[in-house]
Amino acid sequence: MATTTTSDVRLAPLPPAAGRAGLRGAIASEFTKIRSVRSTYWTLGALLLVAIGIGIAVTAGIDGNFANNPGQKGAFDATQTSLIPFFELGQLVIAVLGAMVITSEYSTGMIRTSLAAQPRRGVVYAAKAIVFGSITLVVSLVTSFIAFLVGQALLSGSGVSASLLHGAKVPANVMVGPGPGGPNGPPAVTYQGHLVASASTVLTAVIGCALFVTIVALIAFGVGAIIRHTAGAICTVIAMMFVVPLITAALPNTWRWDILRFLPDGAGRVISVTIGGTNPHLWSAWPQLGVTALYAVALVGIGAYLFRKRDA
Amino acid sequence: MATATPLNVRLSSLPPAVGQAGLRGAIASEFTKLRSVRSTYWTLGSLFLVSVGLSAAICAGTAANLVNNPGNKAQFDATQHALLAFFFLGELIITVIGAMVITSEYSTGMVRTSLSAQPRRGVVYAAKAITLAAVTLVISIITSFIAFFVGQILLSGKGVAASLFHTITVPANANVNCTGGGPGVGPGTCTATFSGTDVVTASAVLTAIIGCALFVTLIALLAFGVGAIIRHTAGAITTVIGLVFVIPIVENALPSNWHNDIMRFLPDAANQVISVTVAGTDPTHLWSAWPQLGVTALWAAVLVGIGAYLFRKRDA
Repeated sequence: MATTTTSDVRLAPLPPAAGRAGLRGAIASEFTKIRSVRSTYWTLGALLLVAIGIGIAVTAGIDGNFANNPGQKGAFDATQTSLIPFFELGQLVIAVLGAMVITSEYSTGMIRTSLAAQPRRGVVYAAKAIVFGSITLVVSLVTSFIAFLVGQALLSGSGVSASLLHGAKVPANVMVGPGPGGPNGPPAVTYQGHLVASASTVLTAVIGCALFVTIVALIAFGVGAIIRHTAGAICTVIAMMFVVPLITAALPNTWRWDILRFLPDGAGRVISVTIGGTNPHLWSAWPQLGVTALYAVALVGIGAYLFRKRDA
Repeated sequence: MATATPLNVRLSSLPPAVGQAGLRGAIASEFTKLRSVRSTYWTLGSLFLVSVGLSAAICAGTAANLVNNPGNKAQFDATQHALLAFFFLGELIITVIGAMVITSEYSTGMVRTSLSAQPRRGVVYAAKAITLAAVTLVISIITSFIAFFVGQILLSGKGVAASLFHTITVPANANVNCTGGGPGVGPGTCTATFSGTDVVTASAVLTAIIGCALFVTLIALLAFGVGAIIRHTAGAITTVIGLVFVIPIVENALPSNWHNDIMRFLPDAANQVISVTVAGTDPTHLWSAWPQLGVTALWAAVLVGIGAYLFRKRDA
């Protein structure tokens, strides 16, 4: 009879299990998940490219247009102009990623593996929110600063660009009248008064827009945890951020002005303003950002409750 | 030895295969797919409920507000107020259905079964587009009419409600005089003197109602085309939303002389003119209703066309 040789097959040695599986391991696991799928790179890459690319198109276009329409320099908000593509399209793109971070676990069935590996659901949920929130904040800040700096570089020759390091003056009013050459000659342009965009307001706008996009990302994450369906979650967030504000336009003004400040999208419109007065129907930048944050806290909280209570 | 009795097991008899598998069978198959998943009922149900519900809320609110602010009756477009929620939220919701009709085949792997059953891909694609367009059109027209009627019922009695059967007039200008008001006393009583009239014809109202339903259907096809190109639900939905909701917002940042030239070429512009019924309140930088709807149709045709080409050429 042949002697059976014991085969020497071994698994690669794993360290012995020590301590309790905690938030640190869950964060490492969530970070692996998020960096190992293509959709993360697609969406964050699209966010960066679209925000900066459209920012370049808009600011370069406006800079070219000033030559023929110097009147448009009156109360021109260079910071807001360079950031609009970022915070509008950024909301849209990040809402997709935020929803998918959690809904993709359900569509692929990964959620069962995740919760088998770490049955303490609160930890899994918190790890997801922390990893996704941090990545979004970093990418948003980088995008916001680049979009701002590129936009100001393109607008620099016009005399109305903003700066992070010192206050910039723009004319408050511009009078364009017929010049000495008559109606066919070059017009005479007179500037009256000035408005100041202080460096700190500009910095607030650049950082505030990045925070706004991050908070919208967390709103989408919370909605994703509640709805657990990619298309449904994206659709709901888009409706909150883009469509409801359009529909409120049908309401009588007296009502609409009372409602506007309680909608989650109001913050984008005040935090990016660096020139001119405040919007009379919205709070100032930080309180208005607080409203958006309140939506995020409530939705992420409801999502956490449901994530712990429902079957996966 | 025991004799084995042959078992008399038979499949239930199917009719023999005749003829060529064609568009009719493919449409029947696509209709089965569409009506046998829950997401269709969720999305179409929410389309109907949200459109009609918000129309009721907006029109009831506006009607109550007209009592204290009679000046708002000037150039008041009752039809547009009733349809606004439908065409904005309808666009959004129908985008999801339009994209998912085709992207869900890829996420579930169903597309391999579909193309084994009917290898002529053009037929499968056409059947999908036809089924989607037909279902969307029916739901949109029903929703549009009901949203209109509910809105007009709530606005009736204010003298500005629109009708499908006869021409109505709304005041062109309002002069509001308030007496008894002041700091600390409130606005007082206001009376409005109206001058001039704007005409709302029954045919303009009918055009608005049907036009909004057609617009929503075209957006569904546009989303279908994008879905066929991108083959990923989230990506397709985001692209369409970017095109119809976000680009128009971003474009506001452009100088107005550029902005005014670009607006009319975007797919969302049609809803801003097709829903207008009060003569003289059309946006000045857009074409009139039907040409502007043609722009949206052109976007849909081009995207569905590119989708068809890629659906035939690429591996599934």
